[in-house]
Amino acid sequence: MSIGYAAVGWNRQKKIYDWLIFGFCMLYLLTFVGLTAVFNPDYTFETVLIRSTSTLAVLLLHIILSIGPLARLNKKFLPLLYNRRHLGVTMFCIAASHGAFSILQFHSLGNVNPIVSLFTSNTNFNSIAGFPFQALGFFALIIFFLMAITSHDFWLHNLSPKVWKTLHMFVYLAYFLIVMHVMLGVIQYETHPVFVILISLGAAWLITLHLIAGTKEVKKDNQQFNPAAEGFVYVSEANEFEEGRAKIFCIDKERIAVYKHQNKLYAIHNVCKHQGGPLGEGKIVDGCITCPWHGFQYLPKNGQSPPPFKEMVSTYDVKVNEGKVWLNPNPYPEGTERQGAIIIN
Amino acid sequence: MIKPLRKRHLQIWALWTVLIPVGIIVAWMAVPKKVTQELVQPVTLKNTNVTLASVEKENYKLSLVLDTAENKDLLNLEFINKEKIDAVSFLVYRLTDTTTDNIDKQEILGRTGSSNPQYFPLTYIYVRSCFEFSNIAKFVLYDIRKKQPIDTLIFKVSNTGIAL
Repeated sequence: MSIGYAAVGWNRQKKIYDWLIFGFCMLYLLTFVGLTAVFNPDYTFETVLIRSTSTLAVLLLHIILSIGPLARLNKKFLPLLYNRRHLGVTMFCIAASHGAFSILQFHSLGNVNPIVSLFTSNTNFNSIAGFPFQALGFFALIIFFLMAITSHDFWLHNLSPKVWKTLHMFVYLAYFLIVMHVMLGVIQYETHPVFVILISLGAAWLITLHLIAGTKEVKKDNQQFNPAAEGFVYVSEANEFEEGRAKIFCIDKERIAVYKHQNKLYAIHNVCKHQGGPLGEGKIVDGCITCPWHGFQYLPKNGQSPPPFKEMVSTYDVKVNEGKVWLNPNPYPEGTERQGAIIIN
Repeated sequence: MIKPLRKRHLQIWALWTVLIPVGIIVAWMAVPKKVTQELVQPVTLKNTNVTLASVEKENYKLSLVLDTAENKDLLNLEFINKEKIDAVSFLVYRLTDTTTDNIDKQEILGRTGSSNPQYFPLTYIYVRSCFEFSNIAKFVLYDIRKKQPIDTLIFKVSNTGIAL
């Protein structure tokens, strides 16, 4: 959370995260090169570079796409989400290296522009085995590039969260393109089934994970509440709340986070203004509701970020009557102060 | 995340649940199979060949030649019998599995015959894999009567061309 823009707002967690990414990538690349030198000494260094960077990028893409649903299924994975964009930019750099090495090796020695050659050297669009798979990888790389250069909060604020989120959802299209890039490319030559098994397992893992997490979220969204007098609906028992934590209720179309703080209940909109993180899955730190994704903070009583920050979310009326919690799903304008409901034990 | 966005995530992955397995299966089924039973008949003699690399032995000459007819640029393996050997007694294999000496595991390109020279066409997929991945092309000349390989020929593919 910052009032200005810096290239990277470094802190201890980010440094550890990035060193781990760097160490993992180096270990992977060196292991790949070493094993190739032992088992396939005929391969040229360019080929080893192309293959090692491609497999590493695909592996990182699977890890990146796993983090979101894993964090929704188990809070222990939230630390991975915190700095996911660094992992994404790393993956783009490695994928770009793969693309650059490939274009240099296969398309740069003729008298045709390498990019033109990429699209004109193979035009077997009516063949599956001979399909111009390189173009699929190129388009995926363009998506990763756009995501990488707009990953900074500057672009999030200036493009608007809606446009930014829509752009970044193209990663799913990129994933599909990558699967087909692999299947129509290297799989057509390396006919050993292990390659197909690996890419299939990766796809099965991601599809299963996203469907489980998505179905769980739909169940939460479809939870039914009975309306009562004065617009309030009964949502829970007061003793079910944990101090400093929230329960989330989806009434009508929006989710509302009801936090218990200093023996009072406060209700705010569940969606963080930063990247749409689930505020109700965070906790209260230093008196502020803290988003579990990137640490953006809001005051429980008015949904405002503490000065000098300017983010605000909607607040709601909540009341406690005979140990039962009642919530009014009609939002107040963002940043409106509410008194909260005292819990009488 | 708002409710419509959560719904969109789920819809995309529901779509991928169908499209990705279909894509994987279709691509896997399209992988060219090794020809093990069927002998490929040599193609007719052509005058539009450009020799890229060749190896000459006492009894025969084997070359990688590019057929430039109609701008198709098809790659062939050319076998020239110097008429000192019984041509019909040899099979030509492409070495595809370097982990084994078992000739049955390799891809058979064809059998040498009465035509001289003879051409064994190399598939588009093979040519592409040669240039893009393995960087070498290995061929085995196999004596049917003695049931043993008599020669292994390795062509190296590089950015500057093909060499022995």
